[in-house]
Amino acid sequence: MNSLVMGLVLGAATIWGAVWTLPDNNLHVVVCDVGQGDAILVSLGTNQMLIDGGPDNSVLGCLARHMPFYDRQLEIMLMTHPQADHLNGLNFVAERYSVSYFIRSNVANTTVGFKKLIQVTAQVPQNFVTAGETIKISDGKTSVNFKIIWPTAEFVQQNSDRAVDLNDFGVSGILTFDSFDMLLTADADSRVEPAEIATRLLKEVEILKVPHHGSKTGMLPAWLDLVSPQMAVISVGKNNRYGHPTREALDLLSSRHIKTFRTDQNGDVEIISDGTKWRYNLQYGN
Amino acid sequence: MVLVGLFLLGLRIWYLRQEKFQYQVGQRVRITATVRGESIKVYQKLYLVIEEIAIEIPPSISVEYGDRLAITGTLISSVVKVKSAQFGLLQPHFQVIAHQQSVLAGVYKIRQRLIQGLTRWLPVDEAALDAGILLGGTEDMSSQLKLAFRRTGLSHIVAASGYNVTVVAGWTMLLFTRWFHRRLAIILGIGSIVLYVLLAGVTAAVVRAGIMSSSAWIGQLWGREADSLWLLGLAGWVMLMVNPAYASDIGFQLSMAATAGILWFRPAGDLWTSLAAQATTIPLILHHFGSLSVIAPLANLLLLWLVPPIMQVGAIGLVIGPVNWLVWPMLKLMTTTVIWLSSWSWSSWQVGQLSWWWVGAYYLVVILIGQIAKLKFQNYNSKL
Repeated sequence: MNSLVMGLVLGAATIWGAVWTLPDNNLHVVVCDVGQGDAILVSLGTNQMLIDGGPDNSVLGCLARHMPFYDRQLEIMLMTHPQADHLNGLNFVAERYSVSYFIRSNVANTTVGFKKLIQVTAQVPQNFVTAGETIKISDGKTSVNFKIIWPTAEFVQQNSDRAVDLNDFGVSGILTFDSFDMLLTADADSRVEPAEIATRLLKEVEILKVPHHGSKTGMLPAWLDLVSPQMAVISVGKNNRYGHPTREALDLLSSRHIKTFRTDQNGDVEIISDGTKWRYNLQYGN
Repeated sequence: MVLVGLFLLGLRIWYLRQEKFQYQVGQRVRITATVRGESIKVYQKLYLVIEEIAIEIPPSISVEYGDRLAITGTLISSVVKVKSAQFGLLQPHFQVIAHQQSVLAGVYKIRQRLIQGLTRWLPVDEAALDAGILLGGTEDMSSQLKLAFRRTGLSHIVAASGYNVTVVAGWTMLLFTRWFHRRLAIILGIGSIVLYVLLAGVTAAVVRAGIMSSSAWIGQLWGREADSLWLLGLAGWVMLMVNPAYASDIGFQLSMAATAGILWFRPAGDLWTSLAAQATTIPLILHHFGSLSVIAPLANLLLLWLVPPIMQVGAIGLVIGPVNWLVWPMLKLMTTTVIWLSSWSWSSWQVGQLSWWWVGAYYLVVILIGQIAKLKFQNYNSKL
């Protein structure tokens, strides 16, 4: 009898908890606070796309904060490029969540973390993407598109077996939800930005995820003016050994009067859009 | 008998001193050891602790339970505080010599499986808390929550403790006495306690409780009721004889002190039990960590009642996955409350580390007060 009452009470609490965390109809993009690295969660309804996983298991905390507790499925896991600060966390994610698709650029690495990830995701359908392709996330009524702008198929073909910086392969794209656009850039920085411009896939966006944690070689002024965001987010760790974000990057953003938030100061930076208007929500310092 | 016991213990420690290797900074060493526990995470880095040396494991190397390792490097004085390590190892070179299959490694695999099962149903911190309450350990817990548990004086909840062993012992006896003869039930009960101790990672607290429960049962087989304080002394003595290094294990010290406090004061009710345990562990916590959780009594009062139902439903959840969603509301309530309580600036005071002399003086005063209270109580009784 006692255990029946307890079961009913707990059942009711669980259901209330589930109702309380029921998702809305807006697009939510969370630039997760994962220390020095990238992890970005894109949610529409109960569908999620996780772009990169950060350097360790702190991405799990971000998923816990921004996904309903009963949702144990990630529809898409995307790895921009196989470097530790973008991929190691994906190992923890793949062990705990069921992943429907694993998408990445066709380039490998020799690290233990990368080999483990390939092992852990062996049963997950995988796709390589290149510029011009679009990933579509739909919840039935509305949909959000992620149009890949980099790397181009030619670039991957010409450079994948050469000793090119893996950052140059970073999958970048524009997330579009009706009239709202956000550019996600991975670590692809000023070395490839002229080529990005040449693809003619870049356009003006509302929000920019700053390339390469705000490194010195992050943004060309011409590239930034083409993208011309109203707000920028830098995914960066406290006291990191690279000195990110650099004075140069911050000055360039402030010279264009672009409101800038940083995950080392603001924690998770969440952007919410209904397709026309957008707003942001910070973990710290709202 | 007590004197003989102490003499033997002294002999054991003296013998250990003789065979102990003297480490020196700058020495080039080659260590061979078998991995027999968790690696420890400090500021995103993994460490193995071998005797007094904390060795950083580079991210490019994966070390598994049961691996026999040969590690070479140069001794330096310890940079980070990992357990009681005095030394670190500069540029360690790892080599896995062999992988030993053992019962322990097998049980450890089961532990990992069980915890992994939880992590597929629950968000990371709730899964880590559930695993901590059921099996002990905080491996996957975010540093924020770990700190919150420490600041609120609730870390004992996530360290598999004597309480867990008592619960396991109670459950198994309830089941086994229904089916078997009492003698067989006790033997099976001891077997399941040993299994639980292994599953909980053979930490000092569960070993202590395991020895106490088992020896109480064996006493019953012989028809003897044993005094619990004596059993505690016996458990401590056996552990130190087998491994004198327990003496410097913080978990061992806290577990012995807390149990002694509870058995000696004989408190009634949850609140008084946790207060009794706090009264005898405070000087040790001050000695090792230098901080005093002011909010601990309130935090324990608010949250301890959640532990038994989490254990009951959580244990079912280890086997039947969806049941974990019924545990979730309780886990979420606990994580939210702990973080809320610890966010108050006054919930934990940094008072500086106490020397062993003060720890000794504290216990002397506690014992004196206790004895006087007992004498008064007896006088009062005899006058009636």
